[in-house]
Amino acid sequence: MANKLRRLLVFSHDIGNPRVGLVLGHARSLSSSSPAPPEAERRAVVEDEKKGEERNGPGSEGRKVDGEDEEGDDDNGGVYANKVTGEVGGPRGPEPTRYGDWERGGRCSDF
Amino acid sequence: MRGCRPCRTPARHWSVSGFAVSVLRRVCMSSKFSCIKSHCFQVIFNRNHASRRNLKISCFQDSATKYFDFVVIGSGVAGLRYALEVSKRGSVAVITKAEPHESNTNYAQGGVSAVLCPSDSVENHMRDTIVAGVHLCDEETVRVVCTEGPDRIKELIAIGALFDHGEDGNLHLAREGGHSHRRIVHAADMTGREIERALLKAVDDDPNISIFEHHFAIDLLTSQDESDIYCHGVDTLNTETQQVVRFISKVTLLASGGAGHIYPTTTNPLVATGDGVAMAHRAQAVISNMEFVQFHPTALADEGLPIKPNKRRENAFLITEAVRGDGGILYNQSMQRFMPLYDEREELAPRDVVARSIDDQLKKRGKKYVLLDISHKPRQEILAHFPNIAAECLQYGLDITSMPIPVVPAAHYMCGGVQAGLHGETNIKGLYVAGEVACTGLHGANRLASNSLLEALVFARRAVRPSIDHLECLSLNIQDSNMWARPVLPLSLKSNTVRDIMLQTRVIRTELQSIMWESVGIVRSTSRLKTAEWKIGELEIEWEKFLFRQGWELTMVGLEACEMRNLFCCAKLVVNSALARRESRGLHFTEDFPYLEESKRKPTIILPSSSLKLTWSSRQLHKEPH
Repeated sequence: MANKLRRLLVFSHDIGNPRVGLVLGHARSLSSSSPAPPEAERRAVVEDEKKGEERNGPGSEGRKVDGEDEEGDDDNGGVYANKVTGEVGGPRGPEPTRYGDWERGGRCSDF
Repeated sequence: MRGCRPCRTPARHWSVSGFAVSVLRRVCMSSKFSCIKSHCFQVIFNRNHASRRNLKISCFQDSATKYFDFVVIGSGVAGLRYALEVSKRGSVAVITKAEPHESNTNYAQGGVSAVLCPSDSVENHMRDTIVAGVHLCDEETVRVVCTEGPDRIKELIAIGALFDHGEDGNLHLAREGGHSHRRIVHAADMTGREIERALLKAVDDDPNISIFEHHFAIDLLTSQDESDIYCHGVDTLNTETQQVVRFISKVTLLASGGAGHIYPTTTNPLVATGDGVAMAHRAQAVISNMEFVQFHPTALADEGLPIKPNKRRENAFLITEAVRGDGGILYNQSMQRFMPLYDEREELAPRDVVARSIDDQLKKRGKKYVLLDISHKPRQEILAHFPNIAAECLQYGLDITSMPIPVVPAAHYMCGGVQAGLHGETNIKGLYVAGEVACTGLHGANRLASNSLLEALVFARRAVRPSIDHLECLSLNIQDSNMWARPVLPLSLKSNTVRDIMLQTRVIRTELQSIMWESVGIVRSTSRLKTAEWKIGELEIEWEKFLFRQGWELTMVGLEACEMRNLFCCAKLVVNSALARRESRGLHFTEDFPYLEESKRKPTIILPSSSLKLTWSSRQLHKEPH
């Protein structure tokens, strides 16, 4: 299966040392050699979502998923539409992917 | 007669485990007539078109042997998608070991990734995939998958899958971790289930596809011709009627999914016992990258709940990263916050780092779980954001607004598997693979979120053309279906004995899972891997000795015993692959080689084992032992 040992495309900005976590005391570094969205980027995503929620009125954070929240409108013949994302018939409440994985009510179903 | 006079096809000389078996007859096809004679059986052909190419074999209803053009092992997205295509060219049997919907696909609830937004690009998706895979991906595979993804999604929609849309009428695309762009297509939070539903409906409506549920695949039927190995079908066990059913096919697609149950805590349903990888390995297929097992860091740990569930949870309840994102803190059982010891990003470190940190803490302290505490946040906020966790934990006496949540990493996805070419082909002729069971080179050292459903769709489709070509060039060589010894049920054993074997096998399974978690977990080391290698070997010998002491025979089959063989096989493949990779990359982290090594940036390949020192588990059941 020679095709499996073909030269891989290499991105020069990613070669090199893995990101090394800070080592304190006697603990070893268990640095990740696989990247993830930088923390800053993740925080930005979260803040965007939070801003979206705030735009919909105070107290929107406390809305439950059981249909009581007023983030979307029900003009589409009773189908919920998310005002922030424009998604029709999607989940209510905070964006499921706001922290990178797919969550509903706290349970993660994809990552 | 040797060879066929009208078409002058020479007879082939087959070798099966040292015996030479000549093909005694050939099927002769011409546009005028079709005939087959055999000293064992008669097969009736239905000729529905004048063209010799459009020949279909009607299912010969000998209950012990069934004949199909195509046999698909597994009823997840890969298997069903393939079946729907090849059914246009021949008869298809889909074999599934439980209910058809019981597959990893059904539990894949996030979405399918594809480039569907004008501002997104194939290059972006490729880059995200390759970065996530830590550059171990096969570039051409990545290009093919990312390029063909959008068309595969459109086909799914045409088949009837309903995905969420935006108000503008376009598909709503979400963005998951690791993706630089919004590209996840989803159906609420049950994408896998929706895809499975749509495919199953289409399959049910297709008269050329027969689903055989509760048929457990035992071993592939293969033969060797000099240096080539051919697949002719698969032996199965109908677990409802306790009958062995042999499927003879021209083309076989292996789409049997993952092997989460080599570990004690897994998100996979019970059917995921690595049957496909094990069968393929026994059939001499090449296996690749088995060391890359994806874990989720924080699954609810039943051992830490005040009220223990009375039944063992079959698939793990994963606690979302959002809990940590919203301020949840990880503690070990001595109530020490440990993440700062491992990473300056603390609880917000990448998932892999968190998983390794938790694993390290558990190993160091000999504990079964750590604690994730969100109780310092306002009660209403916790209940609003995480109602599912709150409800689940409350059932077992845990109030997450005042107590920490016990969590442990859970095995989730196997990036490695049967090595596949760009069309799902393997080193065995007539055997194709697609889905989680395959190692296509897409995931590399770590899977990008939502790429697994995509991979299954793309490769299921790509395997269609070569399958049809293989079918058509085979010139209908019907094997003597008795060429391989048939597996037998343990009818000669007393029911007490059979029950004892079942119970002991369950104990052995739990022990294997324990060894895997302790010694082949997330943070590995050469010494622990070697310990695992030895312990697993000993455990397997002990189990097999027990079996044969009870009167079990070499060709006997039973669901628990066959699954156990497969679990042993997959466990050994993971250990051996992990030992072979002397670097840390992606999901494989080893203390002895904690850094990336550019020179090691190649796949781990496991070639078929030599015939020396093979255990009962390591051999195809129909072969005569040496």
